[in-house]
Amino acid sequence: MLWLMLLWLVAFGLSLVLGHGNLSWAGLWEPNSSTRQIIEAVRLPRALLASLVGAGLGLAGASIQGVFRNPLADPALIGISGGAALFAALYLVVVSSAGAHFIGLSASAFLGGVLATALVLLIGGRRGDLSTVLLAGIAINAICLAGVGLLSYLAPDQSFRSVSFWALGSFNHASLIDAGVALMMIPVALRLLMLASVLDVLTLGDLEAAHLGIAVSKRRLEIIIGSAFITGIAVSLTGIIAFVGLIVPHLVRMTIGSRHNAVLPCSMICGAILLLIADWFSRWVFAPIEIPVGIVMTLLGAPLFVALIAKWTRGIAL
Amino acid sequence: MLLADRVCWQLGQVEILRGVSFELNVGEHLAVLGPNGAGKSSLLGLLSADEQPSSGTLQFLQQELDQIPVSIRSARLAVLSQQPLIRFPFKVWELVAMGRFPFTDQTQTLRIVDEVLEALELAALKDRSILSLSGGEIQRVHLARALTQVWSATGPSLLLLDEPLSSLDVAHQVLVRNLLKRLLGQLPLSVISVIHDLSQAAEDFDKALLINRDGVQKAFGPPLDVLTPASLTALYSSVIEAVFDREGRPKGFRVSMG
Repeated sequence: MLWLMLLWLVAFGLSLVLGHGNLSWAGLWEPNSSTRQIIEAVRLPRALLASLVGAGLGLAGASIQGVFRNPLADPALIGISGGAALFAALYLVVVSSAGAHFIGLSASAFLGGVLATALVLLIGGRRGDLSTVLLAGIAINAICLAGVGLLSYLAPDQSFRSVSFWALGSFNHASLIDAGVALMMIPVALRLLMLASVLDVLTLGDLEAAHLGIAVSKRRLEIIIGSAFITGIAVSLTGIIAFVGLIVPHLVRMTIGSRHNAVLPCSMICGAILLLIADWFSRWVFAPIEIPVGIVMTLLGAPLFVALIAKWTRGIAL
Repeated sequence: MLLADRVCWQLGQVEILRGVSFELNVGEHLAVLGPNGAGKSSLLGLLSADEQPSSGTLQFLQQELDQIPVSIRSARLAVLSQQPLIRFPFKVWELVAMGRFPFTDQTQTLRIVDEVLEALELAALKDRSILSLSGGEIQRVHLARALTQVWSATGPSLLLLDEPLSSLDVAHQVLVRNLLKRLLGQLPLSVISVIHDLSQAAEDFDKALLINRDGVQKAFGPPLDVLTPASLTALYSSVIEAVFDREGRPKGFRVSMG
């Protein structure tokens, strides 16, 4: 864990320094130099936001996988991200086509995430049958993304780009205010971290967890809503960045084991590192043009996901 | 310690269990027998408080089972259900240690886990991933998890086992049977096991409960009184004969293939 923290610090530092634009070491120490301005106005908020959103998505992913007892679950796969993106887009187009109000935007993204999750659970969760939940999630997610697409098609020009932004995911307009809004995740994240041993026991199954004294439906709802909250905030700030919540906990489990008191914090740090790297990559690959980080994550993540499925099905067959 | 009085259970319109009554004291081992689908696992579900009886009463420690606070129940009542599927690569000892979740004092956990693993010959598998285990091994791991829950019992505790030997080889069946016998002598513990092995029922248990195909209790009492060729033949609709040892005492049963 200490190593991971160090690695994150290195990635954070590098993401401040690396990138397009002329930075000079000397300028770093001079107030009002262009170097200082670039770092303070652009790179720092961006690195902070990437870290917070990555940590949130890693945590939400690990929690969702644990609570659904399925290592292939992901906040995006069960509809949280889609719902959040749809409601964020709705807010942008319908309520405030002039400019985004952050609290309203975050609130509606959160609401969308929770509603989509509730819908998924209503359709698929009655018997706690997890594959049904996942299938319902895929359907809801598809509907939400189609809704986002429709909105971006119907929306007036000036809000078109900001709507399509939700489906792609980007740190493009990161500001210190964004990073500040992202800090709202922290109390919820702390609560999820406290539920680590509950998550361990929930993976045994509902009845088994109840036999061990856990109020299963309450705790499960709490974990799902907490994850939806964190994902909702992340999506409202950066749009959908898929696969972070899926891949990060996987990599963590492969290296340090399955106990959530390690998986949850390590997923947070690894999520932050991964998004810092992905953000740097998205700025570097077609520099000076930058591509949305969501596209980078999907291009990186989807093949990894396929590899994981292949490995997982082999593991079951053995 | 445990008292069931005319317990019935309905699922929708279907009556699963009818008129189940029995009494179990500390130190006793009860066998629940009956054909597939008779409702044996449902009875364990009622006893684990997963479900409430639709009529009749279930008392544990002189209290209605559903009135007992969860914190007390989870420290006194351990359940081994038919194996849950876990998709995460927990290590064997991590899964077993989950049996200590109900206890606020975690200082004993590692010692108890080691003792239980030792007792079930799982010590060598301690750090193995549960996804790499065989069916018999994973069954012992889940049994170990249930045992850690009652291992340090100071007050009357109940262990519910749904076919605990079904995947075990002969040597491990003997291991588990002997271990349960030893624990029943050492701890303030009662055990209820759903089983299919009639000969084992005659040997290991203090009491036996027979449930027929329709979920109706047919008999309850000491195994030698309850398990007769006539009652078993009626219960399973198969011709079942008793096998006797040299002194003429019943020592098991034989199912006629005709």
